[in-house]
This record gives sequence, C-alpha cells and structure tokens, in this order.
Amino acid sequence: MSAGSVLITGVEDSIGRRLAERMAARADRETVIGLADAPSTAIDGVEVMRLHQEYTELADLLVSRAVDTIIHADRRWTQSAVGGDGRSQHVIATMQLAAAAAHDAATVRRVVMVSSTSVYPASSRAPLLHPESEQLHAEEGTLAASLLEAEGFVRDLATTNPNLSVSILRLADLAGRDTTDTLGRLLSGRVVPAVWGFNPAVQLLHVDDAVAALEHAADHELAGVYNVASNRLVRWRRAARLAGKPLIELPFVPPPLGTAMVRWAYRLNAGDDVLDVLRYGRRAATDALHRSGFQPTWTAEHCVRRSPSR
Amino acid sequence: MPAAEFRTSRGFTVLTRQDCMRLLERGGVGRIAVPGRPAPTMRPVNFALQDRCIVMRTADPALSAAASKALAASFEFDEIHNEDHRAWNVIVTGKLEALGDEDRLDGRAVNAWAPSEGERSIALRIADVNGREVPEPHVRPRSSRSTPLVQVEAERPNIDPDRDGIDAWGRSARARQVARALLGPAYRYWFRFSFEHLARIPTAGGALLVANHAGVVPIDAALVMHGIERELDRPVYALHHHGLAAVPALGTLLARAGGVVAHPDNALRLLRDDGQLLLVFPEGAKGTNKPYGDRYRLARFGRGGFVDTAMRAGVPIVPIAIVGTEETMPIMVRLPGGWPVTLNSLMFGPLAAGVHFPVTITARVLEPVELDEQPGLERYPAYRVAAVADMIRGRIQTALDNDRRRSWGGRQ
Repeated sequence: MSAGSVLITGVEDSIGRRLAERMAARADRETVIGLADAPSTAIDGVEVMRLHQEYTELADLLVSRAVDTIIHADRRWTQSAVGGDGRSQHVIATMQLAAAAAHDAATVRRVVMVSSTSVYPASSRAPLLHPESEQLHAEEGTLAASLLEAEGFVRDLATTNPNLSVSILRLADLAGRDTTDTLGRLLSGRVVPAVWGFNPAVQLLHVDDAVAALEHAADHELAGVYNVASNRLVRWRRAARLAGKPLIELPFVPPPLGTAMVRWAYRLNAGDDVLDVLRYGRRAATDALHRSGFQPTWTAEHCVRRSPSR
Repeated sequence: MPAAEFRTSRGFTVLTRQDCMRLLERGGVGRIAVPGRPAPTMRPVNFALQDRCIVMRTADPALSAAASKALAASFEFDEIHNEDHRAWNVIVTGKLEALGDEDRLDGRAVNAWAPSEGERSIALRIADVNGREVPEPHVRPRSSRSTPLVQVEAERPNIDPDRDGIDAWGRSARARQVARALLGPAYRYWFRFSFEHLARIPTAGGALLVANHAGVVPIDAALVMHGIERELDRPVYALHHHGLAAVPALGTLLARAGGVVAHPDNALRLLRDDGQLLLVFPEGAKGTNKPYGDRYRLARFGRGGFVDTAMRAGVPIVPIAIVGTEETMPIMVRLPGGWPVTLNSLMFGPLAAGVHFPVTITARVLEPVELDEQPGLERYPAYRVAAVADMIRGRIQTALDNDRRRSWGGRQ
C-alpha cells in the first residue's frame, strides 16, 4: 500500500479500534484518522475525530486530509440494543460516506466496507453455504435489508467510479467477551439458548482474523464482495460447552414471540431472526477469500474458547 | 490440526481438500509418475505449489516428453515416521504441461536440491487431490512426546479434539460410525443388499447418483450410502427435501448422516468444488407414496433440475436401479388425505408400520452417462435438460423391468 492517509470509521468498536492500532503501527502510513461516536476513544498514533453521527462533514475532511483509503469498519447495527436505531444511522452514514468518496475533489482510491453474513437468510430452504453471488431479497425492516441497502451505496460507488477499488467484506459473527454480534452475545450470556431438537453448525470469526482480512483487502485492492469466516464449523451445543456455559432448551415458540423473547433476554439488535439461526445456522462460503490468498488463523472452536482480551 | 472428515475402517483419516492444499504449499520432494513403456516412469522431484499447479524443474527426458504431450500424471507427497507410524500423504492427479519463459508460473521458484544442465519447468495442473493421515500412533511411540504432524499453527491453544467433528455440510464422522454399526447387520442379513456393476461408480471425483425411490419409510438412501461407503471407501451425500430439515431431531440427524437439503447451490458445490458422490431421488415423495399396484413404475423426474446441476458441474450421472425396496413396505390402500396403509401395519399392527419386510434388495449400477455439455454455463436449454432426464428415467425403468422379469416371474 502506498503512503497516504487512511480513514477508519467506527473505531470505538473492537474491529475498528484494532485495525486503527495496526494501521498506526505500520511504517508505510502517513496518517491514520479514526472516526468515533464516543469522544473518549483514544488510540496511540491515531487521530480520533468525532463527526456528526451521519458523517455530514465527511467530504471536507476527505479533501483537507488527502485521504486515499477509507475503511468503513463502523458496525453500529450490532450495537443497538432494543429500541436503538443504529441500523438506520449506519445506512445513512454509509450513504454520506459514499457520496463524500465520490466527490470531485476527493482523492480516495480505495474503499473497504464491513458488512455481515447476516445479509444471508437462515432457513431450511437456503443453501447451506452462501456464495457471495447469491441473489438476496430481504424483507423490509430486517437487519439484512438495511445491510443490503448500505452495501448498495458502496456498490454504486464502484460502478460509477471505475478508478475506485471497492471491497465489501461480509463478516461472520464475532465471538468473544466484548462482542456485540448476535451469536457472540448468545455465547457470552449466563446461559446459552438452544432450540430443542436442533444443533446447527455455526460459523464464527475471531476479531484478529476480521482485522487481518480488512488489512488484506486494503493491501491487495480486492474488488468485490467477500465472505469472511473462520475455517471449520462448530456445532452450537458444543460451542456452549467450550464456552463453559449451561444450555437452556427453548421449546418451539412461534417466531414473533420467541424471537422477541430471546432478543429481549440477550439485548440483541432487532431485525435478525435469531431463532432461525439457532435452528438452521448460517454459513457463508469463504473460498473466494481463500483464493485471494487469505487464510484465517483461528477455527470456529478457537473463537469460542479464546475470547479476545479487552 | 486437520479436519478429519471421517475415520475409515483401515485406521486412517481422510484429509480435506483444503488440508491437502495446505500440505502441498510446503513444497519439497514429491514423486511424479507418468505413463511409460514397459512400465510407468516414476521420479522424485523438487516441487512448489503455484496457483493450484505443482511446478517442477527437471532435466529428465521422460518427464519433459510427457509434459510436452500434455499427458495425465499422478503425483505423491508424504511424510512418514517409521518409529511411531505417524504418517500422511497427498495424492494429486492432473494433466502435465510444459512451461515457457513467458508463463505466469515459474519453475525457478522451486528450490532444486540437485540443479542440473538443460532443466525445464513443467507443471501439473491439479484436477483431483486427496490425502490420508495416520494421526495417532498405532504403536507406542518411543519418545514420550508425539505431536501431530499436520499442524498449521503451532501457537494455537489446545482444544480437546472434537470426536464428532463435522464437515461443511454438517456430516459427522461419529454419526457415520454409528450408522455403519446399526445398518451393517440390516444391510447384510435383513436385506441381503448387493450391488451389480459397482465398479461403474467412479472412485474419485464428483458424480451424481440417480436412483428410484420406494418404501413409505425409505431405506434405500441409507443402504446405498452405507454400501458405497463400505465397498468403495468414499463418502456419499444424499439430497433430501428441505421440509425434513425443519423437523426437530430429524433435521439434525439427517445432516449428521450425510443428508443435504436439495438446493441447486448445495448440489453444485458438492459435485464440482468438493468432488463428492451425491445421491438423488428425482421422484421425491411421489416415489415413496405410490400404491403397490404401481410399484417400479417411475414417477415424474421433477423438472430435471438434477441434470442441469450435473451439466453445470461437469460430472457424470450414474443411474442406479434398485429392486426390492417396493416390497419392503407395500402400500395396500391410501386413506383420504393420502395417508398410506402398509401391509406391514395390517399384518403386525401400527407399531410395525416402520419395520420393513426382509426383502432381498439389489442395486444395479447402470452405465454412467457423460453429459456432452460445456460445464459452468449459467443455464442450459430446457429441452436438452428434459431429454437427458427422460433418457435416464427410461434407462432406470428398463433396468427395473428386466430385473423384475428375472426375479418376480415377469409380472409387468
């Protein structure tokens, strides 16, 4: 990667913060700018700024600091507990970001966006391993719908600006102590819910591998959409055992009620049908990323066992 | 640690394709075998893995000649510890090609132990790769420390090995073991199951097995999967209706045993990317729910989606005609609503409804059908797909008719 300023959004999140730390430690980087919502975030070697939460002043910043790489690591959609509107904030912020990057005066050459494998349906009818090329139709109001909407702005950026290298990385759920992802939250609760009669194989992702994948995408200018997940799968009940948590068996509860109950108990972000994930799992095909030369270090089992520090 | 897909009866584990590729990435010394007279030529070579090709430097005339003729070759790479019997090997097959100076692949990346004059670069394009490992010492190791050989990251924390390790499809090594133990006696003594022309099933690479479906509680999938696994020592996956995956306990059980929800993406990935055997019953529930009078009369083969998938994957279709399954659970009448009443339940009560009659079952493997289509297209003309589906249906029907004439006195 050539020298230039890199802008990383969402540095209060575990992925954004680690990525900013790594970028700041690299010799070939001039400036690392981090965008955060929480004013208290401080990272060595990173200039942390706080913009309006919808990035309305971003275009000026991109020009004045000659930013050439944007890593949109903001994952506000995972942060919203019940009642939050992190999802729509994220969509609007992504739209502003795409508009700012496409601005005539901007010097941006690379955009890497973090998305989630939650864009894929968890269902008995869905493919067992979702390829990136899958045609997705999300119901309005779901998490998948808002993620696809946000991805759409960044995709448009790629089609209208052929000089820009645009990558979208769909990350599997992170596991670990400070994770805000659905499966991570379920595994870090006091008891782990499981649906009676089901033991789906799930994919997880270690935060170190997530950060390494983003760095890989930026370094190699991977254009296009890539799924990112740990190698191998772990059965949900075994994951609970590895995490040292007792299981609580959920009987079959009709979706709206059951989902609402689990969501409330685990303070999950709205819109993702967690009961379907607990029945069928959600697994994305990662061979495209492997072919590009990236291999995750941690398996799904390690993700459960070794929660990242901090 | 490698993903041990399943432990075979001979005491080794089969490595995943990914593990094989990772081992090949190490490079070093392997052995290449090319066709030759009077016997195949085999040579040890230094090699490196580049872009899914085994790249070698050699001055050997036999290898150079084979490469310029683009012959098929086999390649073996291994690590063997004689003292405690830990070992693994990876075997690659593919086509050789000679590399020029302007090729992207570069033989100079190979660290040659004994460089010699007149060396040329040749590459083996990997078409198929498989590997095996003897993971735990069969004899007590002399040293007290015995570390697994295939270890990708030394610094990873130790996790008790998952004895019930599952692959990407949810198929579990232990569930297959249990299935083998449970099905073994039924396979041999209850159904006296046998194959005809088993050698027609490929021993490597993907193939779509297409069979007729019968019996209210169909046992055909389990028996064929068990038989092929036993006789050919390779796993078989089977497609099932997505509705079964939504049934508590059953859905998980099917997945662990090698069942996969029937979705074109799943089938394509299993056949093309994983190179596995995939069993499909295109009749679906129409096959298992027909009255005894209609036995061995094949129902419609859906829309022929299985043919389309095989065309896209570029794999052969192997039709299988199974005789005997219709008699294991004959449907006498169907109650309003389609609920079947079987002879089994009439004779021995409702509790016996799930118990099959001990009928001799024979699976006759028919000549594999190589599809004359370019693989990888987005779609294939419906009339060609339908024609192949019809042809395969016809072949199975004919085989069933012939078989029944022989064993059931010719009633059509």
